[in-house]
Amino acid sequence: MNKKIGKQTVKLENPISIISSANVVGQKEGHGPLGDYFDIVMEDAEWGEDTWEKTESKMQHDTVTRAISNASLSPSDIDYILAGDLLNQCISSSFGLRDLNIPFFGVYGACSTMAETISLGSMLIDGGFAKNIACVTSSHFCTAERQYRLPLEYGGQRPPTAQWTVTGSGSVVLSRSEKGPFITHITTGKILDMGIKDANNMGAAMAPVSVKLTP
Amino acid sequence: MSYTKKEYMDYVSRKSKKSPIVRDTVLAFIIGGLICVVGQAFSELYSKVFNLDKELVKIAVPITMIFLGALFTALNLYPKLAKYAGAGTIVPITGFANAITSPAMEFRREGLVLGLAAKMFIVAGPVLVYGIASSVVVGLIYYLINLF
Repeated sequence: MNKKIGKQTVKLENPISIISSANVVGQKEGHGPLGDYFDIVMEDAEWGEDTWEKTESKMQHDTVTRAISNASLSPSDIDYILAGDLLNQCISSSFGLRDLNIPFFGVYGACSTMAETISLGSMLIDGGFAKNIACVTSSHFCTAERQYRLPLEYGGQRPPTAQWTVTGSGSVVLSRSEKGPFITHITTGKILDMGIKDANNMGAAMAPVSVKLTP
Repeated sequence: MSYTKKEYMDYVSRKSKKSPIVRDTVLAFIIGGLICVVGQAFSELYSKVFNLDKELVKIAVPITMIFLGALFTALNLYPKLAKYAGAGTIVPITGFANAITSPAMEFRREGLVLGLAAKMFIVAGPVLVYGIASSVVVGLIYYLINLF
């Protein structure tokens, strides 16, 4: 059966359900407009760990284990886990999830990682390759600043267009079920370079890929 | 019809919040100036109260300002000031101390050798390289001029 519609969209043979989810966020996110909807708001950037990278690993581990138990499953019921983060070699994911013993696909999509893991996970189930799939992503403001930008203690002034990297992790479990929410179609974006040169202004660089802009 | 690259860049330009140039300039001037006043105060203290000779004062003041720059970075107060001061806190000597202390603190967790020591000059490196290189060039020019 040909599932492709156009160049970028596929229609799944049967809808895939998101059967459970879990999340954890940092303080800034907890104070934001979605603050009340998060499961856990960390009291500080470390969450009891001695490096931020370990914190991010802990965040991933926490959200995945809670999402799996929210689905009344155990890690051994999960066929694959698709995970990604912003760091070199996706260490937050690999170190955070290493004791779960689930076959692992590391994914790098930066801000699109959650959508990408859900897209690929749905395709795996729809293709008959898996029954239950866990998807997780994370980012941490401090680990991203350390890797990509300047030390936190550096006395630099942020321009008004600079964006903050989220401190947060989210996980979902995908499976076939009667109950939604459902994934029915997947549209995969292409790389779009509109010439934004300001490395601080991530939003302006990313906006064109999600919205078709007309003047 | 969708945006061309130029149209999108113009759109982003219009929508982007601009830096408050006047406020930034005034604050940089005032806070940068105040830091220099502190330096001058130490200079007066060392020469008039401690009676150090002129050459010693010229060394003692930078040492003091470097120490204060590093101390305030360690206390996480320097970046708080820099948020408002902008260019006023980037300037040497305190800015340079901050530029070396901050990566030393940040990369301490990666170890004392490969972290702290290796990454310590990640921000200030260009200042050292081009500052020293240009002083060599200036020195050469000075020497050549003095030959005539």
